[in-house]
Amino acid sequence: MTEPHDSLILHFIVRAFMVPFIIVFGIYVLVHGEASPGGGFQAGAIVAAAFVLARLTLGREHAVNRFPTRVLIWTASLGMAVYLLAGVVPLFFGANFLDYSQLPVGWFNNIATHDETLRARGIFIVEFGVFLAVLGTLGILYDYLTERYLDD
Amino acid sequence: MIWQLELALFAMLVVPAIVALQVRDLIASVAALTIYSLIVAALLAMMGAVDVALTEAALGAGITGVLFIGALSLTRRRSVD
Repeated sequence: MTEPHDSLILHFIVRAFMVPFIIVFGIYVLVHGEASPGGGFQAGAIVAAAFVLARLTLGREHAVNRFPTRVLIWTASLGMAVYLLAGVVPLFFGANFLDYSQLPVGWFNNIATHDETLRARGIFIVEFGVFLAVLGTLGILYDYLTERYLDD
Repeated sequence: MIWQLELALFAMLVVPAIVALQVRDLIASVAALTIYSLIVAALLAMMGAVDVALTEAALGAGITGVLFIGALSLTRRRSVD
């Protein structure tokens, strides 16, 4: 399951259609997570499914060169840090832990969200952290399960 | 919510569950579990829990099967009990 598949049609379909569309759908689920079904965890799982599909079809070397395991570890750690910062920063503004309505991100409302409430700005930051953490962790799981094939 | 469709889905849900428990070939068992997850995702979407259905379709029917097969490639393919 780590060698590239030798079907040209499969390569073309996966590389040109399935992986880009799955990633775009995952980003849609992430961005609209506050107003419709979806959210950080679901988006991370969908994008990680696209990454695993690329690693299964295009071969381990090709896909891992594009997006190495080291980068996945950094992604998961960055997601955890974003989530932790979104929890800790409101403490310095006189609010409770994870009270993200007190996050100092007023500028964010102008570029990202259609919702005018303060909670909607903060929930997107938390969702983005969860997205990065889930994406990185699921990729790491697959990479380490098939790691022994790297030596062949 | 159409109760006939839901009853049919629940009836279909039993088959891959029993197959996954009874079959000796563990890769066939993983495939049956994937079918089970897909039917569960359809059921959850019918019940209005679209969040859970998204998670079940992406994780249960997608990544879990790949991870199970990756774990199976580290051991034997057939079960012995």
